[in-house]
Amino acid sequence: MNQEILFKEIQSVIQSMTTLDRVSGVVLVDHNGSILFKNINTSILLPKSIAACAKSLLSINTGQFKYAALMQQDHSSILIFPVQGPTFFGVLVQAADGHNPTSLLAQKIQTLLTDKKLLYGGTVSKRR
Amino acid sequence: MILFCEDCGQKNDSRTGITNGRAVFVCSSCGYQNNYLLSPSRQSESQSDRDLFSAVQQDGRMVGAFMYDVKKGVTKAGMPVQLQSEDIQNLGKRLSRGFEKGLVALPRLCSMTVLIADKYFFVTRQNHGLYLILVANTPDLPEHFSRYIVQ
Repeated sequence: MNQEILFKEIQSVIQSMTTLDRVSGVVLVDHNGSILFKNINTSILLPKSIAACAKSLLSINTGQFKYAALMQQDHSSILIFPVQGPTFFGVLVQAADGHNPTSLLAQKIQTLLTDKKLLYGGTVSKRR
Repeated sequence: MILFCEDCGQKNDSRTGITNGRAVFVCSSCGYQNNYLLSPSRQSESQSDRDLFSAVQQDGRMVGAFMYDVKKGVTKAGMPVQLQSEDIQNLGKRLSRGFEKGLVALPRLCSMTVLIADKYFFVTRQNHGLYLILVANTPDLPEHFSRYIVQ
C-alpha cells in the first residue's frame, strides 16, 4: 500500500477509534518510538515504551502478534496493535465501567484494523 | 517456589524436590543435601502451584502454563509437547521483556494479555523477576484461573 494512502487510512481509523466507548486517546509510533500521529498528551502515553514493548512481542512470532493489552489494577489499560508499515498503535483505555471488558474492546479494534487490512502480518513478508 | 539452602542460604528453585511437606533438594550452589520441613504457609504455596498446573491440563479451554524466571529461565512448565523447551524459554524471555517495557509506560501494570497465533497469553509478575504465564484459547481466562491473573 502506498505510504501516503496508508497514513490516511490509519488516521481515519484513529478517528473512528476515539469514538469507541472507553478509548481516551490514540498514538501512532514507529519502531523507534517516534510519534507519527497522536491525539493525546504523550506524557501520559509513553511512545518509546510502546514501541519497545511491541518490538519484543513482535519478535516472538512475526506476523502472528495481533495485540497486547497492558492492564492496571483500576482496569485502565494500554492496547498495542502492530499495523502496516510496520508501526504501532497505542490506545489508552479508561478504567472499566463494569460492562465493557478490555478484551472486548481489543477484539473490536482488531476487527476494525483487519477489515481495513491495516493489521501487521499475514500479507507482509517476514522480517527480523 | 524458591527454597533456601540450610547450609549456605543460597536461593534454589526446587519444585520437584518437595515431598510430603518437606524440602528435599541438593543446593545448586554448595551441593548440600537439604531435607527440612516446610512451614504450613509454604506447604500451602507449593500445593497451590501444583493445583494450578494440574487444573490447566484438565481444562480444554486452556493451552498450557509456565513460570519464567529472568535469571534462571523456565522453572516449571505444562505446555503442549509440540513446543520444544527452547521455544518456551524464548516465549518467557520475550513476554517478560515486553512486560518490563510496559511497566515503564504503566508503573501500576498488573497483567498483560497478548494475542499471538490465535492463542491468548496472560502474563503476570509474581515477584521481582518471576513471571507466571497462562495460555488460553479464549480472550478471557476461565473464571477458575482469573484469580491468578488480575485482568
